[in-house]
Amino acid sequence: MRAFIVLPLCFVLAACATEPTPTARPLSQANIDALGATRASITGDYGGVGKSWYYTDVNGAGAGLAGLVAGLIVGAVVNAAPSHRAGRQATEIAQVVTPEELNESLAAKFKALEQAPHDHAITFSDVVVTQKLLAPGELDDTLEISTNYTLSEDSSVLRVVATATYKNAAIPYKTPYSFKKQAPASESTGPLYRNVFTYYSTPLPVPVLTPELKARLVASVQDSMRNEAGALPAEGAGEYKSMMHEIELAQDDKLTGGETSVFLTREWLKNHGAPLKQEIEKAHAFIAKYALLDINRTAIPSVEGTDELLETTSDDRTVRRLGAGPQAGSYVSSAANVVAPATYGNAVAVGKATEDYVSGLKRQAKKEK
Amino acid sequence: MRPKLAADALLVSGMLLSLQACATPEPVAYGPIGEAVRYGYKDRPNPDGGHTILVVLPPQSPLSDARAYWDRRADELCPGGVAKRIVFRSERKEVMNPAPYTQYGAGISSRIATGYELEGYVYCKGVAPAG
Repeated sequence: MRAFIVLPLCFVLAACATEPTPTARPLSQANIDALGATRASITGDYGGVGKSWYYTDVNGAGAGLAGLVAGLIVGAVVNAAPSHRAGRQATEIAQVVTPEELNESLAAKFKALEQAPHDHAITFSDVVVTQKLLAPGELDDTLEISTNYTLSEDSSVLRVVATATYKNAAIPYKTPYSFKKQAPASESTGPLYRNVFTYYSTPLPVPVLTPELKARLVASVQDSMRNEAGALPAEGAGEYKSMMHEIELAQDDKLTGGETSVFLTREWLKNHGAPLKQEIEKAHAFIAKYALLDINRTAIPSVEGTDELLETTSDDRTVRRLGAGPQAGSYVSSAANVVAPATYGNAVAVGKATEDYVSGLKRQAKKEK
Repeated sequence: MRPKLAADALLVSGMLLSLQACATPEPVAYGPIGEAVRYGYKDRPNPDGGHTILVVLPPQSPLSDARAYWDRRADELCPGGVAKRIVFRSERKEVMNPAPYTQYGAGISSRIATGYELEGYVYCKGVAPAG
């Protein structure tokens, strides 16, 4: 199991920001007229449905080399159980939902929107899946869609985030915003079009803590710490301490997000992952529909606008276009009557089957070089 | 015994974080959010005839408190009765800090909740949604 750590780059970026501009970049009508029928490319997914968790970083460097080593050891102990748990769940998910399925499903939703070209509008002329490991780099004159699929820390919510970008070497981006001084570097380069589409699934109900649930939780903690031979960590080892700590937590009267995820991940995977696949299909339909709508929309977002309600479905799911802040102009599809807040930690575990798939693609890329 | 020192510093950091978690938040007076009022509610009418209501409470507030505030504001906006409530966002705002460098000790990364937000739409009875 390997976890991808999301670095807090945003802090660094935020510190440098002078005049914030929205991430969304609409096209002008002149650009829309010039583009017309456009190819769409689904960027091959390499993470599958990831399982989020919180990675605790320990910095002992202030106490010299010995402190640094001690910090690493303490960090490994603290993170062992949550990382194993998230990794195990990601592996279970990866056996049910593969990156290829995700790519095909999203491509199918975009293909369903293919239509004959017509004046003053962008249409999707062709939809392909591009494996960036085999063909790295940005595609020219193509709408590129890349996605991330993450289960919340307690696994109650699936979040799907898609970023759509379009770049054309013949039409460089010109910022529509005016700046007191020179335009920042972020507004001088980059794609001609960009926007983000976020889908939050209908949340699964959080289970009620009972003595039976506690017992199942303890068994689950032990299972997650077994090695490939099925043995528990040796007494005295760091992982053993971590396991005992997790067992202690499992027996208290509080259900943490990580503990809840043990049960809810299995709920998503019932009937060969039918609940999960159903939400993924809905997410993909939302992304395709609003990507086509948005690439034909010319309104320039402002960081000081207000949210707009675009759609309310029969189950009261809403689609909003955010109106304020850096996310202004982006689209969010949310379920109705949400309850407990879902969080997404700072790390994402990727399943074993997905890792193997990516390794296979990397080998193929090496051979093709 | 520097590893011991680092471990002690880690323990102290952990205890401080635990104490912070135990702090009982002051009850928030029901009222609108303003320039000097951080917690409360904020609302605005929407083109479709509904209203957006946002409730912001201290980070450790339970959902039940936020929901009570939200429902109270919905009832105020709809004196003739509420036709529909759609609460679409329940979010505990967090700031994640990387592990700091601590002279002769150890720092541990932290996640600090900064507020709890509940947001949704309310539609009043007798007001036909536009569009």
